Amino acid sequence: MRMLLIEDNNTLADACREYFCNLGHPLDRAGSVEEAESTLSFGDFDLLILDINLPGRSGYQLLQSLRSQGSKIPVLVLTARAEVDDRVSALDLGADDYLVKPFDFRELAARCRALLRRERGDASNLMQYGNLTYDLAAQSMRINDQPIDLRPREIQLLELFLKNLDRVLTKDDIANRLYTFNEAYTPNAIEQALTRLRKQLAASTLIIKTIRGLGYLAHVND
Amino acid sequence: MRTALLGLASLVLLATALLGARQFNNTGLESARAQSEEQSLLIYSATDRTAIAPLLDAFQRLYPAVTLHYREFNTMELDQKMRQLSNYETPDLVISSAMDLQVRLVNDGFAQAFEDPVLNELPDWANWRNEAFGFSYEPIVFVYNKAAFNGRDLPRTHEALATALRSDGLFFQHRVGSYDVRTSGVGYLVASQDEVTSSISGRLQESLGRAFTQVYCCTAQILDAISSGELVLGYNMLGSYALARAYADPRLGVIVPHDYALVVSRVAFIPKQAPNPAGAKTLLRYMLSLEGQQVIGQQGELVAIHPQATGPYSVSALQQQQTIHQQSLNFHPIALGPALMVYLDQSKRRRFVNEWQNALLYDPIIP
Amino acid sequence: MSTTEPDYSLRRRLVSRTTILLMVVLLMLSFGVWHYARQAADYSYDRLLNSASLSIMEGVLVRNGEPDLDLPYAAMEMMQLAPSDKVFYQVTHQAGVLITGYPDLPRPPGFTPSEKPHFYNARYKGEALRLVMQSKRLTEAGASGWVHVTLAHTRNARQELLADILYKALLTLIGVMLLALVIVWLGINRALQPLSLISRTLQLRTPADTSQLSATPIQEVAPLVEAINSYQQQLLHNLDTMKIFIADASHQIRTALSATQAQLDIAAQVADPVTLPHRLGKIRQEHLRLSRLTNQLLAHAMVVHRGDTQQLDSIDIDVLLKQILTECVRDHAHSDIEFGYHCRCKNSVAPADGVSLREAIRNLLDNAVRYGPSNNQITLGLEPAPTAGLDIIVDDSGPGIPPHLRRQALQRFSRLSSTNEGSGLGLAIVEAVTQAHRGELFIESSPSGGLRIRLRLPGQFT
Repeated sequence: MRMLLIEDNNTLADACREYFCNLGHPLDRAGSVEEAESTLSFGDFDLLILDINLPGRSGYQLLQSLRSQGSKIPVLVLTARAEVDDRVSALDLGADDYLVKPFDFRELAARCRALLRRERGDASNLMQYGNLTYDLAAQSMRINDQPIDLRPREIQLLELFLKNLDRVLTKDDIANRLYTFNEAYTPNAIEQALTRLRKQLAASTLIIKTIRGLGYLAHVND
Repeated sequence: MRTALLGLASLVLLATALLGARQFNNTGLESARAQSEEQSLLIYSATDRTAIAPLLDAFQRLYPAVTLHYREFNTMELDQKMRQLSNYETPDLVISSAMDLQVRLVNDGFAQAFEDPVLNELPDWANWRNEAFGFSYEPIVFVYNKAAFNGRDLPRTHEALATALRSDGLFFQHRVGSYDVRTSGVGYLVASQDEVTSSISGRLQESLGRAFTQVYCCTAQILDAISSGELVLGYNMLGSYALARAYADPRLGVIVPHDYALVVSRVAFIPKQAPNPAGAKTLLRYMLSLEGQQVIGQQGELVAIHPQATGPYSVSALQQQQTIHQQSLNFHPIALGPALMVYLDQSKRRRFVNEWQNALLYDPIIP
Repeated sequence: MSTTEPDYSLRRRLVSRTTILLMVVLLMLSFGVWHYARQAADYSYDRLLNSASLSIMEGVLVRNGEPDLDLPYAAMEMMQLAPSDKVFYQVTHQAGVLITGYPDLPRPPGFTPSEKPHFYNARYKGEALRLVMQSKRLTEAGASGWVHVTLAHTRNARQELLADILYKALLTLIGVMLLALVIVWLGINRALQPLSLISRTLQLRTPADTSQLSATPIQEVAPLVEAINSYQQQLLHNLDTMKIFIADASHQIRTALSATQAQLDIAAQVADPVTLPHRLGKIRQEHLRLSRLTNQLLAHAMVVHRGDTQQLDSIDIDVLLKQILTECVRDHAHSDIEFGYHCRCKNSVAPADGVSLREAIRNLLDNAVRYGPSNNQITLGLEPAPTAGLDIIVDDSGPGIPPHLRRQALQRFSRLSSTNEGSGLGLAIVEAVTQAHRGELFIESSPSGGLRIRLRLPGQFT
């Protein structure tokens, strides 16, 4: 897994590099858009961490040219400005996530992992969420490498949450995905299934939060 | 501010327009002269042809293209004729020495207006309503036989005449002549105006009656009688004819009375139905202009009304001849206006003629 | 400031309107003068007509038992006072038997003989006439009965007199109007003088001059001077507030910076590596505070700036709140805090600035998380306000704020206790956003005994 950091501040870049090295992820670094473009032409990268405020051409321009070339590489945008307008336009231009400076390295790492996970989910059957591993083909779950038995409903529920990490799922959303039209269901049934799943997940880093009045949100706390 | 001023200005214009600042439609003498189109003018006149001929001839010379047709009437005839005009013949200009009759014709709506800068020189009394215009200035005078009055004082006022008639009855008896007011239009006008103007007219009439004053219809007869010595004095003679005769006949003398001298004027107007009003206006303009007036002043037998006219028949010449002992003359022009119609009133005329007859034709021998 | 009207000059407008008014007055007066002039002309010449006809009447006498007339010359001379008017007369007796004069003179309509003169108008020989008929009863033997004298003249003299009066009166009127205009012009200039004076005074001022405009005795101008002075006061007050804010902010930032630097200095000198992690932890703490403070300051500045300049859009508040809550739950998923949401509005669209409103709500949620217990219950709600508008409610089950401290909580840099780590700007940001939306902010107690913040957005406009 290779990541490219495009950041002109040396101190910040070095710190990032060191942090990600310690985590076991090599991090290449470019200081400008031009440098980034030449680096990108040489090697394959799994993720771009892109600062917007760069000397010369801005990060937006790089993002724009990448997307216009059809590149689907995940991009996490770093922005110094607190203006939400920046974030929105970054997402509009094809960024996958954003983070406002100053940021916590742990947060940066978590976002990167989430992006990589989303990317790999399509490719491989084995998905890692913190200490939880899910085998899409076998429909089996392991926590800390210990297999956990789940009922079919719970498996369905787990898959649904894993596919919608950090998004709110209402009870209706869940019912529509889990039950066909002719299957009778009660909100109670969903809650019971959820309670059981939560018990099974107690030791994992996957948390399913209830938001009263709104629904449920799954988050990997790694 | 500018709009405000504009608004006010337009308002002022509107106001003046409302007040009827009339425009003169000036068909200039010069333009008519230049056009020289073939045209004719018909003139009805109650004036001797000989008196007005110089003026008309001068006009004819200026406008050879205009043919003048002149028809002569006596004053009463003219008045009648004007009231019974046929479509067949309508005059372009009406001239008469009967001021009163002319005024009545204008009053009755027979005239049309004539507005022209030339009128500025015309005295107010000689212009009524811009319709009737006096164009001559003819004082009423005493005419005497110079030989008869040799060594005698000339009566230079009405008062003096009345006194002389009374005190020297034998000298004057049957030898004073005047107009017969019953037949002479001018005579009637002058006699009636005497009554209006003078406080002693009654006494003078009575004195004339005592002197067995002879009455005549026409000026020429009286002047002839004075020349021959048949009469010694003519009372209330038309000054224009008298002057003309006096210039030619050394036996005659002319006295312009000093107390007052009535002035009559020939009156012209353009009839409402005039077929050639433009031509008539050109002629009238010429008659009143200094140019035309100068012709009168030079050649008689009228007297020019224009104050700047010169010659033997002008006001200035009269002043010069008649001023004795630096006593200036007191001309009393008879003003054109409705008051002239008073003595045309039938019952008024009847009454006046009766009184005149009683006073003047009183015959002590034949009761 | 944009105006829908094009620029105009007050002076020109006043003058032009006064001119129009004066014109109207002039027109009305002109009509009045015309009416008066006509009456006056008729009155004068009717008297002339009357006198002349009476004079003619005196000439009526009886001769041979028949009424006859000796037309007095004086009567006609009198008529010549209207010099260019034609004159017509008629004397009749016994109902229409002509004695003398014009036989066909028009008779008055519906005439009954009386001793009083009878005036009337008619047309005769193509002319408009004014006529009078005088009647007299003869009492002499053999000639008793009425004698009528009719005297008429054309209207030229009347028209001339009317025109003369009208002309002179109008000339005077126009003169008076012009004078009035000049006076109005001067008056307007005089009245506008204080305005020019004020603007000149303001122009000549240096920016450092904070003195007030001197009061004016002119009642109409006094409110303007007062308004300018109070506006200036407000500006000065805002300037003072800004100064205090900057002083506060620099104090906070510098304190945090010194603390960090002190810890760094000590860490650099320290000999015992065992204590190093402890010191680094402290430095990190201080740094976090500094970061948060900086973020808050910038957010506050952004919110205030947007409040001054941003137009409000129609925004679905329900959708916005759900987004914010989702982000918040994600960020605090690892904690034991319970989140809840409710919306009791049918229509949740309101005019708002989404960016600053997001900042405000996020701050409220962060505050609830930060200052509440670890098992906090945080509920975000949207309810219709009692009259119009929307109430955004943030409830928590924390300790709340005692009523006597609630006012203070809204002030910048006020931290209610010395122990917590807040920047003191969170609620100030919310307050600024509320003001920018012309809304209201309430600090209340939540049903669970914690804090309830109620942000009221005003009624929606179409």
